[in-house]
Amino acid sequence: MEEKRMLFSNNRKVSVRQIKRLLFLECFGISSLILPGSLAKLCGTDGIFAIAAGAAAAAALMRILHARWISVHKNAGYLPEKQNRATSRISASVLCVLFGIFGGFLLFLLTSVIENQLLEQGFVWLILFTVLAAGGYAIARGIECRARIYEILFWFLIVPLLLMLAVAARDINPDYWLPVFACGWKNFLIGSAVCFGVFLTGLLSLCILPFCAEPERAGKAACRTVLYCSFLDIALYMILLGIFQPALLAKLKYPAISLMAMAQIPGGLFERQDALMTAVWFFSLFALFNSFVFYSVLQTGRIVPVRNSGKKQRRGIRIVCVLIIVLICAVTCLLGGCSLKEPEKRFYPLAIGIQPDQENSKLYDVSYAWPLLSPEEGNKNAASADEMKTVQAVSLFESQQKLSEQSDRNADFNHLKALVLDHSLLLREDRLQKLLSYFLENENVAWDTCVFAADDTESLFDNSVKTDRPLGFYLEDLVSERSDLRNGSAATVKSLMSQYAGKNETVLIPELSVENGKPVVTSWRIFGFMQDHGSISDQEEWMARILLEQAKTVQMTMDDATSITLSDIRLTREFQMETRADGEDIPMQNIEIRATLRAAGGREILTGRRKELTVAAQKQIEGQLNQFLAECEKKNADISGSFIKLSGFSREIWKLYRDNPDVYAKQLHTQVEVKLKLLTS
Amino acid sequence: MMNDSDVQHPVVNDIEENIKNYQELFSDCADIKMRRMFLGKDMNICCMVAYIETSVSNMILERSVLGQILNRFCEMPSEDVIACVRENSLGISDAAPMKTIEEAGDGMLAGDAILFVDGYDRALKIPDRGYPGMGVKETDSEKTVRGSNEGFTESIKLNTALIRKRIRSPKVKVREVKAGVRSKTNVDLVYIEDLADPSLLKDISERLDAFEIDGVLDSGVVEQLAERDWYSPFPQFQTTVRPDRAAMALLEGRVVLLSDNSPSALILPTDYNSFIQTSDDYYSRWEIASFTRMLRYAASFFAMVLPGLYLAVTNFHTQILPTSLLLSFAAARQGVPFPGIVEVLLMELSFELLREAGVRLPGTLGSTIGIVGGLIIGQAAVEANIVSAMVVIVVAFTALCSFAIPNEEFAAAFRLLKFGFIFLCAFFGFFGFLVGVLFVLIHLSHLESFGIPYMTPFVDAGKPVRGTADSLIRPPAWTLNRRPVYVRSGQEIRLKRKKEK
Repeated sequence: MEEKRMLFSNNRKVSVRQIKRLLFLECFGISSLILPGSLAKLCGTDGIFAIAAGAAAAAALMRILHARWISVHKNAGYLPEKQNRATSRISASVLCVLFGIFGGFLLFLLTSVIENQLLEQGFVWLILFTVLAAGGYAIARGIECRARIYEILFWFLIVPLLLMLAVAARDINPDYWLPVFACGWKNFLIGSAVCFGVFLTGLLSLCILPFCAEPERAGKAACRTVLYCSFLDIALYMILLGIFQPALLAKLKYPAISLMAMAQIPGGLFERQDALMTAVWFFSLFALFNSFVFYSVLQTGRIVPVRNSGKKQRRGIRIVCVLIIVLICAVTCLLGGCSLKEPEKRFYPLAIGIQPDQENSKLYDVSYAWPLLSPEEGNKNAASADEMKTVQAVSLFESQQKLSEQSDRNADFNHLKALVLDHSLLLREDRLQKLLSYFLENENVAWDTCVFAADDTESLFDNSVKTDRPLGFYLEDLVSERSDLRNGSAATVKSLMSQYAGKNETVLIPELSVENGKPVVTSWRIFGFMQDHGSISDQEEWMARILLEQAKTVQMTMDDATSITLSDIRLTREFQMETRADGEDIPMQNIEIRATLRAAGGREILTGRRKELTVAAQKQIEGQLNQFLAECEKKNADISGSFIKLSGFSREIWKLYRDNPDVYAKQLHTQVEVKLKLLTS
Repeated sequence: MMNDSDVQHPVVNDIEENIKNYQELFSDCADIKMRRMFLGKDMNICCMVAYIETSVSNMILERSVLGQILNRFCEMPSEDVIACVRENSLGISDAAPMKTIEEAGDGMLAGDAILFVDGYDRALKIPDRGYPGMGVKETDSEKTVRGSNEGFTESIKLNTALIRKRIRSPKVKVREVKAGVRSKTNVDLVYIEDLADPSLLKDISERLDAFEIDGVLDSGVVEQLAERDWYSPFPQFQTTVRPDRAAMALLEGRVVLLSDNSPSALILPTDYNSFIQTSDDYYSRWEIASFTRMLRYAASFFAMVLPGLYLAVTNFHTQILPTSLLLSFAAARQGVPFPGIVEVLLMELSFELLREAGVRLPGTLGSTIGIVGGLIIGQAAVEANIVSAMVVIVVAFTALCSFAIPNEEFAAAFRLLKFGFIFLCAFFGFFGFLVGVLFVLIHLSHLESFGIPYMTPFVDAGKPVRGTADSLIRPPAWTLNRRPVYVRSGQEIRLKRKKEK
């Protein structure tokens, strides 16, 4: 009977389920944080296969080592105890140092994540002490306690993570998964080796075997856990690729956490979830850090035998240690000053306008518009009028600082809705790149902030502009309330960042001007491969949307004044090289557009002239599109956004132009054929 | 069990010496009545009846058991009286002979009457109505929508009877011990012999023996003295005022500890899950029971973290809130002279004060205080710009969450930890929240109640824990066929279908 009760009371035994959950979180924490960035650099889309290869190799090695461990320790002894004292001390010292180094790295990583995501710069010591205090407390509580923590936490971390991944998966652009098998064997092998190294974290399961109630089962379970973890890593990597594409992914510090900032939960309960989801990496990195320290401490017991001091004395020492660490934390916090800012002591710029300074080429004129909160409005929903200010600065960082200095409050960019770039800025790639680097380094600004262009930015940030709601909200609604476009069609900071990193896309930036005291979209700038390719009129926008596969429905009027609607629009592309009359080989793209046609007037009106209407519509749309394409070709614009898809259609052509997308855009010739199906019901 | 003095005076045949010793023992005790009488037809056998004034009926000679006995002795021939007393031929069910004066004194202090008879070297303890106490009443706390609302009383005997009323089995055992050197409080360990783990009984017996205290006036004293992790805010004994809850615990193989003068029974071992469960979880349909249980789990979490999370979000991580909501928050705080943390602390402390005042005041006034505090003070504080409306909402919601936790002691732990989270989140934002959660989790994962992990059945040790299903959700009654982990080995099955005829 005593034995049975001992199962539940500090018997220093953990179950297989606990090992699986602890190991999964440990592996996932480190792999999801480190692998996406490095694999994107090394392997691009082939990183998926590198993860699979690395995980399989690590699992195989683990299986062999576990089998060996079990055969050597059939009586569940602990390897070092069977060694002689000198060998045991040497192996313990090596392991102790190794675990210590890994633990230190994990602590650095954990601190960096917290500093980056949750606290401002300058709180390293505070984070270090707090994490160490928590680590010390957890270690003092023993292996069972640590295993139980993660057994409980497992679903609380995994379920929200899976939910967020599912939400993020809606915004995937499958074109970003191309090209595959393009990184080369060398890079693939290096990438696989990196994955192998990261998944070797699973070998920690060997250290936990002496504490496991069923070590024979634990080995197999640990291998399976590493494989499950790799499946989740692959899913995460595919989503990251599909949203950021490899070039941008390689530039992000913690892409998995950045993804959490991008995913929008339906219902709008939360604006952004990155801070909340940092919990996943906080707990999983802490688990791994704690494991390394715990096993390192265990090894010290083999190097220098611990004297058995009294229980009361040990508890007293523990309490004193915790108190000292808490005291240090408190002092550090007070000395450093905590980074809290009351909500009313901040202002929330919802729109920013940036234009190069007329007089000084190094300066920007940065205009801010933020909603005015009046005390009289009190508890009602305030924020109707805007306050505006323009500052001169060499960077957005500096402008932010200057703005805060000039006001008694701090600028909070977390809720930025609209970024208005001066047209002249779009023409200067170097200045634009410098500006965009701000968004890479500063994660406060949401990457789904809408981007606009304007000829005279300052005129928009003028008190003479009257909108019925704050300017940021107003501008955002101009582009986000479009039901005729697919999700993700609007130009955002993220689409600019994709260009900044990859230079392989085309985006339509709405161009604003002020009419009747209100900003309106009058034209659209074609911005591709990080270059401005001129503008198209508002009437031509629908054609660009069709070619960019962003149009959900298109409404137009035919030459005979019949109103028609195109829906269910699908594009089929074909690429080939053609020799021009002057002997030059150029890429040729044939696009077949299929869509459903609806005409105003209903079935009665259309009876008898269905075929004519369909043919006329096909002809008119085809003509307009080809004419539009010809004009865009003159502007050297890849208005159909074909380059990003090229590798999937013609690998040979892609190989020719992979390093010269702008040459591709210049040479590309596109022909469109339209096939419509009339829907009469 | 424990006496004031180690000196024992044996009861002797000479009644005068017994009376002298007894009077010495209870000198200056005006409430203790000692009546000298004569028994037998010839009225020549001296006897003395001692009792506490209010514990024995005044109508001794007419109606009470003691009166009936004395009447019979008076009618008997004098020579038969001693023999009759010695052999208990009157068939007094609970009359117990006491060897020493001190033992007899203890018996009297337990509420019984003591009879000394000349020529008999024992004192006879004769039970009567005992100390006055409140009768069986409806419970004030742990109310249920469905099921009995009968509550424990302050009499231990009544309480054991209330349990027996529910489990009419000879396997229900009541082990009585005395606690308190001076109070000599009866403490009963109630358990079902073939379900309770003997090592658990041994463990609790050892813990009860491990301390010596002058008085145990409530089960709460025993609870705190027998706890291993005394520094933990989480209770390691479950308290209940409901006999049906106690009976349910006994059927799960747990032990119920009753203390005289206390209407709260202690259930051990216990865990987080048990504190969240209520009696009517098992009386209602499983769907609604599961839903309300999940609500209670969520409530236990939010009762601890909500004000802290509010501060973390508004002061550090504004990106979490929708912009329009954040602007409302900021606008609402315009003109409030205090920082967020002071504002939240002010409201939380006000709430705690209101709660305390509500508990101490008489019933009708108590509910008035709630209305005054909640509506008038809250509204006035918002209008005077002392606090923002949002903070009032947050504090009120937190209070609702803490009220949704069925056990008062358990809810108190969350109420206390809430202040820790307020400070952590106010200074460190969401990082503080995560650190707080981590510390609480480490503590809860380590905490045990009589060898059972506090987080059972969410954690397992060595092998999966039984009864896991009855945790976040309450499964359909037919699937609850196994007892939880507390039960002794081999007694897991509690429900099986009878073979169809």
